[in-house]
Formats: sequence, structure tokens, C-alpha cells
Amino acid sequence: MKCTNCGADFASDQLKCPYCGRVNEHALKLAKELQTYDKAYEEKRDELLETGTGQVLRHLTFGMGIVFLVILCVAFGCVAFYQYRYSDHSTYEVTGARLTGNKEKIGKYLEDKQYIRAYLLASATDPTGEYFRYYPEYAADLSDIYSYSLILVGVLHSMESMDEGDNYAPLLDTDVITMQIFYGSGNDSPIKEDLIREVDGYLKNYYRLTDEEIEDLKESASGGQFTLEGIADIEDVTKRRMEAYFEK
Amino acid sequence: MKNKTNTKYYILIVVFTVIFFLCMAFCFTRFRTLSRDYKIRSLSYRMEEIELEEKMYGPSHTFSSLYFSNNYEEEFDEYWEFCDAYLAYVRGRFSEEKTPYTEVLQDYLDTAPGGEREKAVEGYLEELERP
Repeated sequence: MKCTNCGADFASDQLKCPYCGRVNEHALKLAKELQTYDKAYEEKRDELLETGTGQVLRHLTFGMGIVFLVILCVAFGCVAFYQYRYSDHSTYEVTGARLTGNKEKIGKYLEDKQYIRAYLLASATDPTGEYFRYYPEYAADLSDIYSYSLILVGVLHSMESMDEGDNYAPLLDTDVITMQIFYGSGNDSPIKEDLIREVDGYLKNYYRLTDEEIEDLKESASGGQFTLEGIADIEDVTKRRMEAYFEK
Repeated sequence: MKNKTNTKYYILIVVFTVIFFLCMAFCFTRFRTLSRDYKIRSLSYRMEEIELEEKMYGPSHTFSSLYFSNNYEEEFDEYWEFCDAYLAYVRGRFSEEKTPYTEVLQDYLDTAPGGEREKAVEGYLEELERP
């Protein structure tokens, strides 16, 4: 373009004439307009950017929420299913044909004198635990077998330690309490008689109690104090007797 | 105002992520516990356990294995047969009258499948018949 002052040629976007220094009004106007546009653009851009980010974040939040919720539902569902399928409660076989089958098996085991096996089957399949309410016809015998099983396991462990040359495991206060519960249950079935014969045998021939002392123990089942040789520390007395007998 | 809206989403994302991982950790531990319980209760596992304990401690330990692991099922019949003989030996050992118990041991030996258990019962019988 030509300068309005000196007539020299110069580029139209230059703000001043390079020869005479006259201000290019046209370029100045354009520059101001451009500055205004730039400012407006920057303001708009920030606003657009913020709005866009907000939209992305909102979608991301909802998307994540839904994805997490679905995954959690599946995970909780799997856990709940396995909990129901494999928990202790679902293993109880106490309904319909299974209950009848269990009763038949318990009857058969008791007949074959597999008392402990009958007790294990009943306790594992009865949600009432040691009350055996699902097997009322065997409940009294099974309760006695439970006490008997504790006595038997004690004898077996003690016998094992004796065979291995360790100290003799004498009759403990806790064993006496178990025996008092066993003797005092009030059940007089043939199974109980059989079990009593066996426990009497352990007391007499293993723990070395006399017949009179065994009778005292049975009588103490109704709440009396049981002593040996007039001493309450039965552990010491039985240990001494067992050592004297078995070492001989 | 708009900045506050975006912050809300950031907080939500963090909260969702934390809750998600906490819930997944719970599910994982619960599932692991359940699967272990199931494995321990399975017949094959209990059978293996009995066989291992029999090898480690001898046949006389079989009764304890059956009792403490609640192994009453038919799959354990052969072990219960041995236990009947073992308990007869224990009863006979602490009884004046040995004959009923030696008969039980002899009955077991008549149909015994052999192996360690048969050898053990032979030993029990010998001990009870000893004068």
C-alpha cells in the first residue's frame, strides 16, 4: 500500500510507514479488532474447555459407577451362591428321604455297635447340635455316646502316651466331670449298659480304681463330691496307682 | 461454580474406586475362605488326610483321624472296620475277659485286605492272647 504522507510503498499489515513513520490507520484498526477477537476467543475457549471437561467427567463417573456396580453385583452374587452352596448350613442333610436315610444308618451303626460313627453322623447332620432334636428316637443314647466319646478319646490319648514311654496320663478333674455327666444321664437302654461296662473297665483296669470307688463316682453324679483315699486331688492318686501297677 | 462441579466428579470417582476395591477385597477373601472350607470338607481331601496320617503315625491313629474329622460316610467303611477291631483291642486290653474281643479281631483277620492294618491287628491279637 502507499503511505498517505510520503507516498512510499510498504506492506499493508505494518502499523507505521517505515520511511516517514506515519501511523497506518487501517492496520491499527485491524490489529485492535484482532486483539478483541483474541480476547473473546480465549474467554470462550476456557469456557468450552471447562464445560467439555465437566461433560467427560460426568460420563466417566456414571460409566465407572455402572461398571463397578455390575462387577460388584457379579462378585457378591458369586460369593452368596458359594456361601449358600458350600456353607455348613447347606451340608445338613435333615429333610425328606435324606433324614429317613440318616435315621436308618444311625440305627444300623448302633446295632453294629459302631457307636461313635452313629454319633458323628447324627451330630454332623443335626443343626440343633448336641440336642439331637432331628433324631428324637436316638437322642438319649446319642447324648450318652457323646460323653462316652470324650472319655474314650481321653483314654486312647493317655494310652498312646503310656505306650510311647511318656508319663502316665492320670484321671483329671475334667474327666471326672465328664464321667459324672455320663453316669448321671438317667438313660437305662441296653446301649448305655454296654457303654457303662466299658467305662467301668477303663476306670478299674486302666485308672486303677476299686469297685467301691467306681460306685462312689456313680453316686457323686447326682452332685456329690468325689474323692480318692479321702483326697480331692485324684490326679495325684491315680498317677501313683498307675505307675505302681504298669511298671510292675 | 463450574470448578466446584468438576471437583464433585473427581471426589465421586475416587470414592467409587476406593469402595470398589474394598468390596472386591472382601469378596476375594470370603471366596478364598469358602473354597478352602469346601476343599477341607471334600471326601477326597479327607481320604488323603487319613491315608497321610496312617502313613505318618501308623494304623492305630485311624480312629482319631475319623473322629476328629467327622468321617462317618460310607466311603470310610474299610477304616471303620479296622477301627472296630482296634477298639475291641483297647477294650480287651483293659478287660479280664479277652475272648469276645479276640473273636472280633479274628473276624477282622478272616476278611482282612492285607497291608499295614492287617499286620497291626495280628499284633493286637497276639498281645491279647498272650498269657
